[in-house]
Amino acid sequence: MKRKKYFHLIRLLPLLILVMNGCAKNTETPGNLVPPTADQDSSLPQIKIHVAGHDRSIHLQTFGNPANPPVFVLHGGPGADFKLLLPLKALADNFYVIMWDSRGAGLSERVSKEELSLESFDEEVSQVKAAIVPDKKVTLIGHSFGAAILARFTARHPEQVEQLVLIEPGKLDNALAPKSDGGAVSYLDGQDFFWQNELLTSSDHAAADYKAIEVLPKSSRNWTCNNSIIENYPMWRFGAYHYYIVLQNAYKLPGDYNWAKGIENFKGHITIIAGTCGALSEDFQRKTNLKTLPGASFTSITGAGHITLFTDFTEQTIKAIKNALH
Amino acid sequence: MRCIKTLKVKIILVIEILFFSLVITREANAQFVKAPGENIYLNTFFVTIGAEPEIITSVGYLHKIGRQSGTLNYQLGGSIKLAPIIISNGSCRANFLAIANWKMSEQWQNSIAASMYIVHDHNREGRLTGTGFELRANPAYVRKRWSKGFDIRWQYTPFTHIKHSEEAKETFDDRYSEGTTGIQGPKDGWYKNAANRVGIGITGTTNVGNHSALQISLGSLFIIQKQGILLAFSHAQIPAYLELSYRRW
Repeated sequence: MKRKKYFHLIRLLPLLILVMNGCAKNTETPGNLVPPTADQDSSLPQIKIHVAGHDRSIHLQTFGNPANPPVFVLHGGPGADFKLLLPLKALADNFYVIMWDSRGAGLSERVSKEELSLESFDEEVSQVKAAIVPDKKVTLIGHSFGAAILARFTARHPEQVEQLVLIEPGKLDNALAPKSDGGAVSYLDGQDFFWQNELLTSSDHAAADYKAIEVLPKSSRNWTCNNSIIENYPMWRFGAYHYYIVLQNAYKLPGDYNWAKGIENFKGHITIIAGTCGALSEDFQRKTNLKTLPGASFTSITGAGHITLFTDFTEQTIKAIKNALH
Repeated sequence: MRCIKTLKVKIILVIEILFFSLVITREANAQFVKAPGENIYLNTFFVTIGAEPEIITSVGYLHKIGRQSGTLNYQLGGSIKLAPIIISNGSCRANFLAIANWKMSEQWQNSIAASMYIVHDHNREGRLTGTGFELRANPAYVRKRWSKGFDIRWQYTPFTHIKHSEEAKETFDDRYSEGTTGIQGPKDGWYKNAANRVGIGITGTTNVGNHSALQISLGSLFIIQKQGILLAFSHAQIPAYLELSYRRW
């Protein structure tokens, strides 16, 4: 009798699994783990652009009067979004501010590896400009990796740019000596990120992006003065695949690659803003980018780091940007 | 009618065999290529330390079951796997283990192990609790004092329950233009096909005295996703593992 009961229990097991499988959620369903992207949620502010042979929906928001001079604001990462940069909407009192998430990053549509070449970012900025302010010169404000993208765009399309503001850009000229370990996560800080593979692995984009919630704040240690984790790290959704592919492409660049090559043809004003803490702070900028861009103005914000420029030092950062914009 | 009954009995037998094949495994974290020279699988205590790539440790016990035979022997047991550096996050896994030790020839043996487990973690994303199984095979060439072989494993966590943290909920904030409401936040509950990874490696064992053995295993542990195998930190894939086990019987 006991043996029969045992068999009955075994037969119930597949049924139980089927029921659970039917009721359980899918990690990749939009909105389950991470916010849906622009192509998945039509109520997000967005536009469609054609880049690298594909029509893609990008999460884009505008602030201020469209009649005012346009200002583009581009996030870093690679893979981050403009949530961190939202305080810059304060510039909307005098400017028409346009912020967006790059294709494959933040809340913009996820894209394939082939669509994330360096050239495609140039095309992306051109397409956003063509869609929003086709007939005007734009002022460009870029943070971190976004600053490098906009410096490159300015060097190639100087006639389309009014002014350029670079906030803690990475090294624009790879030939210069100092290396930056900004954004790196230590092995010890990564322990939980790895352990999670017991419970959650990525089958597509959503789970990988979700797992960044755990690890991304830990990448902020070397953005600070005291090697601490920034707890209030503003982010909607990290583009893990975007980050992976863009970094792969960046590693393939020649050792003497210069993102700003040709920028001498740009006659507008260039400003670099940096904090005094962390890997891309004042000291790093003086040793690298101020040599690459000798005509640039420089503003330092004491005590600020790569992320805290927009969280704890918002007023000072906005003031520095407003001073830079003519 | 009799035919149906016979069929029913056969189906039940197949289910039983499948169940034992799944449940009868080697513990999933301490390696278990059969210790060289052993012909009988005895009650065994084991300890493992390793990197997958997070630092892990596990302790467990295997009990011989049934009559010992020349070709196929079984053990049942249990183990606890911990990630000691993040133990404060409740990062642990409880395994129910079953092992079938199969002597394929005089010199080749295979240890086929399965663990059914419950695993937990809580971090900035939330509280995660999963249940799954791991299958592991160690076909090995066995000599008197040592053995060397392969370590092939597949881990599948079909269901993970996630209760999202405030940090995870905040990722849904401030996304929309004023006056527009959107999706309110991440969904708590059970998620299916939550984790799935494959391991391929090599393993070797040497006897230490007459009642214990040391085993080392190393290889690659990776996931296969829609975009292919991404051996990248961004996807938590530093694709190597290393384990050192001590067994005493």
